[in-house]
Amino acid sequence: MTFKRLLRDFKANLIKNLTFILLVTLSVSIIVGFNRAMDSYLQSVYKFRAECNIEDGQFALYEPLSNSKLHKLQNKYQMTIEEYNQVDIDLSPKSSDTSITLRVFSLDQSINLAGIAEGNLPTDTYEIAIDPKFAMAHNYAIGDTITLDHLNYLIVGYAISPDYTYTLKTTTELLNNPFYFGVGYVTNLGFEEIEDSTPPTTTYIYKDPYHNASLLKTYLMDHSELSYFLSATDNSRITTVITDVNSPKAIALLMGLLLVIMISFMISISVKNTIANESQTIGILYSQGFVKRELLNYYLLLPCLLVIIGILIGYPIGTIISDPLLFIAEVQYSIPSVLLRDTPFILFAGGFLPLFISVVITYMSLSSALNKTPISLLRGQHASNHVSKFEKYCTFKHFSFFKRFRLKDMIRERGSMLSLFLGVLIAMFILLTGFFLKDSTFQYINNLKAQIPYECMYTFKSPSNLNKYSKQGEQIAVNSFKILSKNKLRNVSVYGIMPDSTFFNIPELAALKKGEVLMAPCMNAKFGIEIGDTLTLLDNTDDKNYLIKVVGYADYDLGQFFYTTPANYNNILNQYQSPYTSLLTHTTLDIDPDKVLSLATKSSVVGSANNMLSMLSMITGVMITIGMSVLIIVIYLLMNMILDKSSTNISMVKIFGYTPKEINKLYLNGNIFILIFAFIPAIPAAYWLCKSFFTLVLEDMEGYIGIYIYTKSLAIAFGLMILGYSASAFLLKRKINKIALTQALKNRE
Amino acid sequence: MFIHIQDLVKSYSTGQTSFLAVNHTSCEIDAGEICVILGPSGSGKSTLMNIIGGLESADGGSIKVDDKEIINLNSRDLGIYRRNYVGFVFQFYNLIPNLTVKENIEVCAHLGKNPLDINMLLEKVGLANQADKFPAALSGGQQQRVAIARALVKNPKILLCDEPTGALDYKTSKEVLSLFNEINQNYGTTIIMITHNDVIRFMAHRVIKLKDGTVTENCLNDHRLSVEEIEW
Repeated sequence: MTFKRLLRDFKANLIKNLTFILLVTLSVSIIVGFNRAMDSYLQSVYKFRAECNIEDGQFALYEPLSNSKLHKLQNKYQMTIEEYNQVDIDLSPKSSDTSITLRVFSLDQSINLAGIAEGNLPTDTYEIAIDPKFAMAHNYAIGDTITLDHLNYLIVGYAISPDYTYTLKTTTELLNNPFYFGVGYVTNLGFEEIEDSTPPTTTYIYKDPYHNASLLKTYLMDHSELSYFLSATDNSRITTVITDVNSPKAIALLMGLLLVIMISFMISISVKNTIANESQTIGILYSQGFVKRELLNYYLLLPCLLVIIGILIGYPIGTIISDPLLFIAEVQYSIPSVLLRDTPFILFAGGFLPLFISVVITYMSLSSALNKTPISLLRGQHASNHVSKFEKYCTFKHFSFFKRFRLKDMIRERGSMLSLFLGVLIAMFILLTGFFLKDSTFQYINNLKAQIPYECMYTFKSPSNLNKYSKQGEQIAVNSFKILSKNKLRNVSVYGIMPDSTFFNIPELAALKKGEVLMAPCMNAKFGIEIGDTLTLLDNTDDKNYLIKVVGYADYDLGQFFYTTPANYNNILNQYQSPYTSLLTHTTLDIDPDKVLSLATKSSVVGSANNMLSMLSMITGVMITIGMSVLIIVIYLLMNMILDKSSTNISMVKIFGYTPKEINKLYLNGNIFILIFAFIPAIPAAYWLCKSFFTLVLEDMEGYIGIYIYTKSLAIAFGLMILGYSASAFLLKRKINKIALTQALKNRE
Repeated sequence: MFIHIQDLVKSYSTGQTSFLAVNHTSCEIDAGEICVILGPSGSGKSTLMNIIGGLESADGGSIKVDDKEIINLNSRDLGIYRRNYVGFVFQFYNLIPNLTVKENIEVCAHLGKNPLDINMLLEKVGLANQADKFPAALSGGQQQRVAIARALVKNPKILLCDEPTGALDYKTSKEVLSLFNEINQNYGTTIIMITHNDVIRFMAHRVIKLKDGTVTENCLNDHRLSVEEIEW
């Protein structure tokens, strides 16, 4: 009997109920899809790292360690330390300023073992396995040949290095671009062949089961020249993936659950309308001895059924879309394979939580609706006749009748209006977030293009190397430090630039006093550093501290940089030798690559940012589609429910002779203001979400992306909202036309 | 004649069966009359009133109001007809609960070409000091007065009243009926009233009796009584 009635109720509002199911399906698909994809990706990252024995850290010395010294250190600190040789092969086209580098490692390692994505690892001297993203960017296939220093190597597989999950050439870079940089593996003999023509760079990698790395670092600083010391937790090539993959997961969960909350309110409103319509039947049931709990259980059945059907459809859809959603991580990061799997959390978040939220909200909402005496229900004296104090207070005396009527009706239907407001807010929030992500990245690229004042920045291995080329560009001093911000050590760079620099236009530098620096605007946005703050710079290599005072901003937002003069730079560091480390040029120079520690080109930086933009474009497209779908569904459903509640009054004003235009004016057109009211707070809400997203993603990266949205995008979002409203209003006008005149003639008290 | 009904037919079908609610009915009502339509449940009086009011269409026959045929009007023109000619008073008042007394009357004020003054109407229906109250704060009789004022404000030529005293007690019913009399005298409004209360016919100019959708009696009342004289 109950089932038959349930089925009848379901069929009675078929379109509405199917739309509720669709919304729940959408929410659950988002939660399950993103969480399954990202969780599986992270688990695969952890598995890959464990299998490949990833390093706990690495360091470099000015003088290599002897074998005996290496053994001594290993024994002393109970660590496994290995030489980690690498050769950077320049694959840049001859007549181009594009810098393409393949970093080649030997397979002769016990730490940071190569993982294989496809094909095989090399076994012969002239075989190589390369990073699949680098291969894809350059159209290298397995079986092709790649020329490294005039030697041909056969590509036998796609290999991935566990410490290059994010293939950054230097850990200070913000974004990667597989076109400009990749890694490859050759055999030990193959590596020796390359070594003959290009000397390798030697670093040391370690495994530290007893957490003695800090003791080793202290020892190395005291006994030799430590070039740098980088723990795996500070290595952006290793850490970035974790925060970056976690953020879409968190955003999807937040959006999915917000949608579930909104749907639950909408379902509650719908069931409350049913209860109001059936108040006399309920009154009869109460008078026959039924208790509230029994009726509550009955009225909860349909909402539960809708949500359960939504979950049952949404969960498998989420499972299916989790595979393509992996692209969000795969487009940026490299691991050999991803095994998609379910976790108890996904079942909890995608299955139990939506049902639980929905039951709680619907229960609370319906409980009060059924809290009436049998007599009042029998007489139909339900809430519709009651006028609250708030309604009495809002007289709107100075408005015209039509405006007053609309405003009073909105206040009357404030529950539905609030749901409409929240629904549109959530939909616009999703929609605008898409635009914010796209525009912010686009703006970031434009800023880079406009602000990077050089084509190439060469950082040399030694000052003597720099001196040789100093006439061909402008010398600057650059060094990396750490600062303590928000209880975490952050990487920053200090630039020493002449006030009359032909590259940077920072005349304020001339006025800087001893120890004073200017900061990039992002230092304030990301770390909250204010003008007037005194900060301690921690040297990455020797653990010395230096004090600086921030006295202003420099109009260059290229990274986590402080700017000062070369003289002041020396002053801060208490050093007296030439401060210069790098050379800025407008063109590519013919410089012996052995002399260069790193080369940053404008095209590679902009290219990396463009790469990120293309990835975000896909996410933006998905978000705009979801936002638009939710927007249309929410507007239509809620306005439909509001009209259902007003149908008797609409019928009555029709009887009085109101024209369709006047009826639309009274009952439909006022909703546009709710939409506009929802649009306005959706902007800061989406701003906050994007800011949180970029803060999470860029937490461990040395850079900052400011949050922007173009007026054009706001106009498009607003236009889409109006379009959604117009489409819903068009359909609802037909509904208004269909409301029978005789409806108001039915008995009612 | 102001309202001329000729051979009017209206049938309803429920599933496979259909029945004639108005069965080839003819009658006439003159301008400025109070016409009481009497009949048992199912006699077709509400259907007849709905058709006169332009709320329902007829299957056949003719209704001329002020010499204009309304049977063939489309829904838009019927809307205009209701707007210009008809005021409705329902048994259960049908007031909008979140609008004040004055605002409920305002709902119809702008519909008429020559609307009456709301404050004057409030005076007339004895609710001048209740203008800012909400319907829930009024008695049934007071609510019906608001409904009458709402119907009257656009100054319609016809006032259609469906059991206007059906939900009211004796005293309040008499007050409402007196109000109808007053309106009729002051504004010359044609009032058509459906009622189960047989004695109300004594206040009418014309009495139409219906049975099984057919007019069984259509007569003028030559010995009208004042409302005070009517007892039930």
